[in-house]
Amino acid sequence: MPFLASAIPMGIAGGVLGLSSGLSEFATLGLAMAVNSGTAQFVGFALIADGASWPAIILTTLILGLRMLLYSTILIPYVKEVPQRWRVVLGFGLIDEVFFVAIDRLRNGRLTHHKHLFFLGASGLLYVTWMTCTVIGMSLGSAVPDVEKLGLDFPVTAMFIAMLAIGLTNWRVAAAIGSAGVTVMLAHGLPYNLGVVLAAIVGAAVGAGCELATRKNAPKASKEKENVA
Amino acid sequence: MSMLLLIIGMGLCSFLPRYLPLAVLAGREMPAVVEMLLKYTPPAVLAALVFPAVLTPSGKGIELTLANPYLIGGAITFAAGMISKRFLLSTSIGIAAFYVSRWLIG
Repeated sequence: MPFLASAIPMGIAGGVLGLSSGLSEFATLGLAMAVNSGTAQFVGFALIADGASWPAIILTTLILGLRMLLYSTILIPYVKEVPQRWRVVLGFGLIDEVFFVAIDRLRNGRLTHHKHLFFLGASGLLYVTWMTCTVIGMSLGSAVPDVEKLGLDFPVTAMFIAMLAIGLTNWRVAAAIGSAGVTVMLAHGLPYNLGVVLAAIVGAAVGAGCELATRKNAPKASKEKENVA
Repeated sequence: MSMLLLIIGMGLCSFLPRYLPLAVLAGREMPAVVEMLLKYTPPAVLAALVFPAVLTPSGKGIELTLANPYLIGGAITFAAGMISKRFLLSTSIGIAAFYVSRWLIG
């Protein structure tokens, strides 16, 4: 699993960052264990180091969580037969890497039985790796160079772009992507990354609006149901 | 104590968006408009995250130049994704392109 390999340096960097942002060892590991999201953790540490207020930190975490909202929305059709208590575990373990691997297999039809066990195995393995690396990072102290200098932030962006390109199957999706992109660039001055939320709303509305318009013109088209992500 | 509350709050904020749709929405019929909005939300959210990450990687204005490895890596990932429609392949090509262009730029 290539994603496991990328989790190791990120986890170590997280442990280093946590201590250097002024948190105790206990708080650094606690935060990593509670959020189970590298991005939320990194941004959280950066904001804490900046002395940001707690509403700003919580709101930013929530905005980053929007991404997760889209993962779980995409997974809805696949969890219908999974019992409710399992969904709690799936929800907690649903991180970027697990989602990408799982959706790939679900779409190929390579994963039909014991879906939740596959999820649990993958997210459990990543969780344990991440926490171990956090502890390693904390013990290394500040010897590790920072994430941005090494360009470790690009792989996640590349995953998003690949998802976009694969989902781009018709002009309505292109309209949603284009309008969201333009909105986010125009709205970059808004506080707390609210531009991302605004752009997501605009993009979804434009896509849905385009589809509504085509449906009215050609009622037959309402049968089509393409996967967008 | 306030640190504990902050950790709990951040934990909830990252857990609930992942869990609630699985818990509440799965297995229910939704109105057609809501379903349509949900269908276009993933590409919209992705675009909202990707555009700034690629165009303004250092947060100092738009860098629409060949000296921006994020832009080059992003463009190549996108092209590979459009052509191959394969996730791991295009991600790997894009990440490789990013590091090569970073190294070339120096």
